[in-house]
Amino acid sequence: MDGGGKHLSTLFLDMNAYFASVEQQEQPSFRGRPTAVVPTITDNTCCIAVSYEARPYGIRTGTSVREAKQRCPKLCIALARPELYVQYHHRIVETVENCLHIHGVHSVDEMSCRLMHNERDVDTAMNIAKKIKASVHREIGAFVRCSIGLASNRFLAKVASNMQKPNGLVVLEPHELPQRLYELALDDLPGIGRSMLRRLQREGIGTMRQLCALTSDDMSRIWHSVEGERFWYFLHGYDLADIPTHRRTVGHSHVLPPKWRTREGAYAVLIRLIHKAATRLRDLGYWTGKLSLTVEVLPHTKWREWIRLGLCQDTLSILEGFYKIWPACPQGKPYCVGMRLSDLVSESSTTQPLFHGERNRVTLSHTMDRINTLFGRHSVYFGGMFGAQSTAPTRISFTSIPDFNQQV
Amino acid sequence: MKLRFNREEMADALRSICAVAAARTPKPILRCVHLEAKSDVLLLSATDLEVSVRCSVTQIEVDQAGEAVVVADTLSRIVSECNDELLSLELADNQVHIRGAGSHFQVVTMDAKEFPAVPAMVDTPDIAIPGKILKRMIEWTLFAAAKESTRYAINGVLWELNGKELILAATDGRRLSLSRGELETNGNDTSFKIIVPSKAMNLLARLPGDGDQPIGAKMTGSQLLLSVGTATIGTALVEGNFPKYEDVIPKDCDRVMEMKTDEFLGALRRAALLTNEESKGVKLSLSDGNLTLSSRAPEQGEATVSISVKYKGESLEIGFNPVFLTDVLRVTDAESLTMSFKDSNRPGLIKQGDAFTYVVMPVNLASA
Repeated sequence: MDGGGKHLSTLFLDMNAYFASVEQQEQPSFRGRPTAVVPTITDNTCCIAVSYEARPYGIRTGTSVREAKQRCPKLCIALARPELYVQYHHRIVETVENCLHIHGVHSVDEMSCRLMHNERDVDTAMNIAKKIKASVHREIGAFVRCSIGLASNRFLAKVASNMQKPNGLVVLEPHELPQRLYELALDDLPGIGRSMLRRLQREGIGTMRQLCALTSDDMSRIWHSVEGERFWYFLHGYDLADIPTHRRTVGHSHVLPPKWRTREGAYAVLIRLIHKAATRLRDLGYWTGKLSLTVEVLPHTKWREWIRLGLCQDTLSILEGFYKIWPACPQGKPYCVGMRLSDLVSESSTTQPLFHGERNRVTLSHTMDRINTLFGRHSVYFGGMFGAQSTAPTRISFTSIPDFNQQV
Repeated sequence: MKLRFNREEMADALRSICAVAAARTPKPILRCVHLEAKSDVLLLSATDLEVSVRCSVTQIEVDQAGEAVVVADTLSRIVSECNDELLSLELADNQVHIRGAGSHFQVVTMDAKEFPAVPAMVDTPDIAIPGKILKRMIEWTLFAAAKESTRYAINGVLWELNGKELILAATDGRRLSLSRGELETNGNDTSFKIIVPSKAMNLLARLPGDGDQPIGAKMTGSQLLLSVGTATIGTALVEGNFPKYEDVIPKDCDRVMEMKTDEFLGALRRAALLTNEESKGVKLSLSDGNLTLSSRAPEQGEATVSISVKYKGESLEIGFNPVFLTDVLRVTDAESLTMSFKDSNRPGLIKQGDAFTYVVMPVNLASA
C-alpha cells in the first residue's frame, strides 16, 4: 500500500463506444449518424454497442434491435466485426505504448498506465494524457475517441474516465477526495452492481456521501469479505497492489441459429467450440483437467454434464472426453450450447506427458495451430467440425482481453 | 437370524465392507451389506457391481441362522461407536435389532433376495503370493494410477504374470511406478496381463490379515478373484490397453545421484513451500556432491535448500512437480535411493534394487 503520500499514480484510458466508433471510422456513411453494432442481422437480437448519436433516442447497449429501430428509424446497423476490433485494439495499444508504458490491458477497450515519479504532478500528467489523445486521434482516426482518467489508483482513475464522455479528460486529485465523488451515483463505481446496490440499500446507504462516510470495517461487513476493506482503500485514494490472479476457465457458448437447432447441429457446433477453446487454452499456456458441457433444449431443459480429462492440452483428448459424455444429452430441439475447460494448470506447473502417443497429440495440436495461423482459420481441423466451421464466430466480450489467436 | 458377535472383529470386517458398498448410487441395495449367519460363521458381503468383497466374522454365537440386508455405513457406525465387547443382532419384523449394554438400535432392512450375487473363491487359487510382498507392491504402485482419466486403462493397475514373476505397473500419464515380486506358487503355470481397478487394489491393501498369509488369485472369465484368509475380493477388470510401459523406462541415464531418502524428502518439502498454482515446479540443480532445490512463487518469494548427495559429473538443472517426488519417497523404505537422469527434458528414474522402478517426467523449466 502506497498511502503515505497520495498522489496521481495512474492513467486510465477508456475507448468511447468502441465498436460503434470503429465502425464509424471504417464506414464514412455512418459518421455523425446514430449507429448500433449487432452480433447478427436480425431484429431478435440486441445492440452490443451504440454510438453517442444514438443515445438521445434512448438506445443503449442491450436495447433490442427491434426497439432501437422503432425509436430511431434511421439507425445505422453494423454487423459486428470482432477481428477488426482486435486489430484496432492492437493499434491503439501500440499508439499508447509509444506515449506511456501500458501497465495493464483490462479489456478490448480499456487499459491503464502507471505514472513515473516525475510524471505525477497534475500539469505533467495532463500533458501526457493530452499527448495520448492526440496520438490516438492522429494514428487511429478522428472518430475513435477515448476518455482518460487520472487519479491516485486504478479504481479512481477508471471512475474519472467515466465522469466525462465522450472524449473526456478528468483528474481526481487526492485532496479533492471524497467530495468530488459525491455527484456520482453508487452504481457509477466499478464493483457496485445490482446485487451490491441492494445490499447497500438494506444498510441504509443510498448516496455516495453516505458510502464515503463508512469505515473500512463497515465495508468489510457489508461486502462480507476483505474486498470491502480493499474497496474502502480504493475509494479513499490509496494505491493497493493488484492481487495476482490465476485463470480458472476457458470456455465458449453459442445460441444456435435456427438451421443448427438439431442434435447433429448442436454436436457439430460444440466440436467447433471445443476447437476454439482448445486453441485458446494452448495460446494462453494452460492445460486442463475437466470439460463441462451445457445444452439448453427447448422448451425448458438445461442439460449439464462434465468429465475429468486427466491433464491435457490437445484438441483430440478434449474431444474424446466430449464423445464420452455427449450420448447422455437429452433428445429435443437444442437452442443454446456451451462448453468450459476448467481445473487449469499453467504450462510452467505441468509435468510433461510420459508416453509418446500423448506427446504426439500435443505436438499435432500445436502444429495445427501454426498451420491455421500461417494459412488462415480452418485450414486444418478435426473431421467432426466439418460443416460447422463458420458457426459460433468469434465474439469479444467487453470484459475480456483479446488475448487469443483468432485463427479458430 | 439371531446371534452375538465380537464387536471389534465385526468392526474390522465392516471397514472393508464399507470400502466397497457404494456411498452414492441410484440403487439403494448397493449401499448395503448382506449378512448371512450360519452355525459357526457370519458372512458379510458387499458389491458395487464392479468390485465385491466377502468376509467372515468367526467370534460369534449363532442362536438362529438367517440373512439380512442393511445399509453398510449405518451398521458400521453403530458397531464402531459402541464400546461393548459383545453385541447381539436379531432380525425381527424387517428390522435388525442391535443391542449392547444400555443400547438398542433398530435398523430397517431390505429384501435379501434383491442383493446381487457376490462371488466366492470356491476352487484353489491359480497363484499364491506372500501377502507382505503383494501389499508392498501395491503400495509402491497404486499411488501413481490415474484418477478419473478418460483413458480408462490407466485408471487401474496392470498385473503382468510371467512364470513366477509378477509385475505391477501404474501410470497417470506423467509418471510410471513399477514393482516386481516373486510368486509362492503358480500351479497351472498361469500367465496373464490384466488391469485391476484401483478400488480393488486399495481394498486388497487395506484388508486386515497376517502379512505372512499368502494371497491367492484366480481368473474366472472377465473377473479376478483374490483371497486373503477368509476374505474374498472379486473384481471386474478394466478394459483397454495399458500403455507400453517398457518403452518409457529410460535406459540411457548416465547421471546418477545417490541420496539419503529422508534428507531428500525433507528438502523437497521445504522447497515446495514456495510454490503456487502458477509455478508448481521445484528445480533440482545437481553438481559435484551437491543438490540444490529451488522454487519461486511470483509475488510470494523464493526458496533454496541444499543437501549433500553422491554425484560426480556434469552439472544438471531439471524441474519436477514436488508432489510426484514426495509421493514416491513416502512409499519407499530404503534408507538411500538412486535417481538417474539423462537431460533436463527427459524423465528421471528412481530405483530401489530390481523390485521397484519409478519414472517421472520433468516440468518445463523454460516456460516457468
